Amino acid sequence: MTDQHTSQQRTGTEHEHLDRRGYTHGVKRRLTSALWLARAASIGLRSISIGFVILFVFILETGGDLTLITRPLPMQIALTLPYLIAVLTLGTTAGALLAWRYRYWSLPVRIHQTVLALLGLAFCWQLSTLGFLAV
Amino acid sequence: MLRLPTSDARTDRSTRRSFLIGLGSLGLAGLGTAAGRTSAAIESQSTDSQSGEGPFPDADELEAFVDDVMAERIGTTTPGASVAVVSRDTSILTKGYGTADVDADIPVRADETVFRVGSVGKLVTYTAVMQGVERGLLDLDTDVNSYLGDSAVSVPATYDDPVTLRHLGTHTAGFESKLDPDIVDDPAALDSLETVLTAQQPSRIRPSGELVGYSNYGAALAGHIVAEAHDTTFEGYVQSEIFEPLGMTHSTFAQPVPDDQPGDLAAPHVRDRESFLVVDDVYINMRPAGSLSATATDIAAFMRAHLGDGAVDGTRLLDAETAEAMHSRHHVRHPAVTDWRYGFHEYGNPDANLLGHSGATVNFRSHLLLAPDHDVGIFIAYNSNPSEGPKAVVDEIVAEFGLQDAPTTPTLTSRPGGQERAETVAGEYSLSYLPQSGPLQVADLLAHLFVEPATNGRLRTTTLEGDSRQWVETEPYVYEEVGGHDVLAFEVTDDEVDVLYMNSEPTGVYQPVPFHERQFVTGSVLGTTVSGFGLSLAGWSGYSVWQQWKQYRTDDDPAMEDSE
Repeated sequence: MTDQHTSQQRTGTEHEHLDRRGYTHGVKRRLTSALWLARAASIGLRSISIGFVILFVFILETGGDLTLITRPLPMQIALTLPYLIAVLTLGTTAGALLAWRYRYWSLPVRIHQTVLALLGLAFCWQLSTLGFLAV
Repeated sequence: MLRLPTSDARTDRSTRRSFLIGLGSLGLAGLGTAAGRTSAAIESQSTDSQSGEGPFPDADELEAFVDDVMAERIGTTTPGASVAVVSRDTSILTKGYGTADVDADIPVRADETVFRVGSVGKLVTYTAVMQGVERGLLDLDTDVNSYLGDSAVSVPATYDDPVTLRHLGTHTAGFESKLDPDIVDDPAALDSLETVLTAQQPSRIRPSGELVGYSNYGAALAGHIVAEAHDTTFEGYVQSEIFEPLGMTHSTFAQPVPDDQPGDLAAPHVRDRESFLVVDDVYINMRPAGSLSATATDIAAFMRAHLGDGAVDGTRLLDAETAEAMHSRHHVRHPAVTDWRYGFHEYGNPDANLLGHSGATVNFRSHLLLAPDHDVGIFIAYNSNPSEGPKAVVDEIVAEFGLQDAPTTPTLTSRPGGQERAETVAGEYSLSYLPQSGPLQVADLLAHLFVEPATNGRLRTTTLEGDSRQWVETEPYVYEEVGGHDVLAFEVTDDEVDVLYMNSEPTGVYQPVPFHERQFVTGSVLGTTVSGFGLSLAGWSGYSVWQQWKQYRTDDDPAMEDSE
C-alpha cells in the first residue's frame, strides 16, 4: 500500500465523515427549526387527515361495520390516526402563530398556514364530536 | 371477513345503519370466513302442527299461511328459519324451513336445529330475576349493590337514586350504551362474567328510572346478580332452574355450544349476491345479554310457560302472581306509546297488549311475541341477519290472524294551534340507546330523525336512509302515523321539546340534537376540511413540481450556463 493510496483513502473517509456530519447537522437543524417543523406538520396534517378518511371508509367497505367492534389491526391503526392528526394540528397552529409573530415566510404562505391550522382545528372538533378523539 | 348482505347501494346504506343501530338489541356480531356457497332451496322439516284454538282454529290454515310467508323469504332473505306458534296448552306449529348449513345442506328441523337467538335470551335472564324475587332472594327496588357484596362488580353512586333490578329489567338504569356486548371472535378470549362486568362498566349518564336506553350491560348485570344471589354461575342457574324443568334440552348459554349438547347448531350465514356463505361464529362476553342458543321447540316451551301463568304441562316456572307481575307495566314511557313490562317491551298498538323482544347476532336474528289476550306466542329465528328480519313475518301473522286491530285513519285534533305545535317540535333528534362516546358514536349521527311540519297540519319525519313518514296530530303533541300503527309523542316544556317517544322504538327515546352535533354541521365541516386539505395538497404538489421543472430548465439551458 503506497503513501498516495493511503492518503487517498484517508481523504475519502474524511469526505464520507464530513457528508455524514453534514447530513446529521442538516437533520438536526431541521428538527430544531420551528419553520421547518411547522411546514412539516402542515403537510403531515393534510396527508394523514385524508389518509384517515380513505383508510376508515376502505376498512368499513371491505371488512364491514363489525370491524368497529372487533377492531382488526387495520382498524386499530386507523383509530390511532385521529390522535396523530390532533398533534399535527397543534404543530400547524403553533407554526401559524409563530409565523405571524416573527413574520416568517411571505404573506400568502402565512395565510395558507393559518387556513390549514383552522381547517385542522375544525377537523379535530368533528373527530371529537364523532367519538374518534377521546378527551 | 363479514360483508353485510347487499343488493344495491341503497340497501347497503340502509343495512349499515340498521346494523349499527340494531346492535343495540343484539347479543352478538360476527366475523366470517367464507367457506362455501349455495342457493338455499325452500324446504321445510319437522312439522308439528296440532289442532289450534283462539285465533288459530284451523292449524292447517296457519301452517299454509306460514309456509307461504316463509317461501317468499327462504333462499332470498335467509337460508334457513325455524318457527314456533303456541298457545298455553299446546304447540300449534313448530316447523323448520330451508337450510341450517348451506355447505352441508342440512335442513332446518324445529326440534333439532339450534339457533343463536341473541337478545331473546334476555327474557330467560329476566325470568330468572323474577324467580329470585319470588323466593325472596331479590327485590326489584333494592340497590343492586346490596347483592354484589361478594363480587368485584359495583355500580357507582353517580346519582342520588341507586340502580335497582327494576331499572335493569326496563333498561332505565341510565347506563351509557356501548352497543357492543363485548363480542370476541375467539372463544379463548371469553372472560368470566364478573371480569367483563368490571372491565367493561359503562358510565351512568342519566339518573336511574327516567328514560329508557337499551343496555346489554344492564342485562348482563342482572344475570350476574342472579348468579350471586344463588351462589352459582349464571349458566348453571338457568340450566337447572329454567331449561331442565321446562325440558329445554337443546338450550344453553354456554359458548361455544358444547359438543355433547343435543341438537345441531345452525351455521351463521351472510348474503353473497344470489347465494349465502357460511361464516365463522362469534362469542359474547356479556352472556346473559345474548349468548343463548336454542331450538324453536325449546322456545315454544318457554313461551307456553309465560302464557300459562308461569306453568307448562304441570311444571311451574313462576307462580301465577309472579308471572302476572312480570307481564305488568314496570316503566311507562308515555301514555300514548309502548311501555316496558319486566324484560318484555310492548309491541305494535299500545292497546293491543302484545309483548315482544327481538334478538340478533350479526349473523342470526330472531323475534319473540306474546299475545296474552289471544293466548298466542310466536317465535321466528333466522340463521342470517338480513335487513328485513323475522319481525316482518311476525307482523304478517299478527295482521292475518287479527292479533291487533288494523290501523285506522287518524283523526286530526280539534284543538287549535296545530301549526304552531308542529313548528315547536320540528328539529333533529337522536336515540338514547346509541353510544355517546367512542367511534360507534357515528351510528348515532347516521340514525338522527328529522321532524318537520308538512301540509294539512301534518308532520313529516325522515331519516338519512330515506325512511319518510307522515303523521297526523290526534291530541296536542301526539301524532299518529298515516297508514300504520306508529305514534309519536312529544314532551314539551316552555315550547322546548324535552323528549320524543316513538311507539315502534321501545328500546330508547329521542332527544333534541345540539346544533354542533347536527348532521348538516358535521357533514359541512368534514366536507370543507377534507376538501380544503385535498386542494392544498394538490396545489402544494403542483407548485413543487413546477418549481423543480423550472429549476431543471434553468440547469439545462446552455445560454444560462454561458452567461454564468
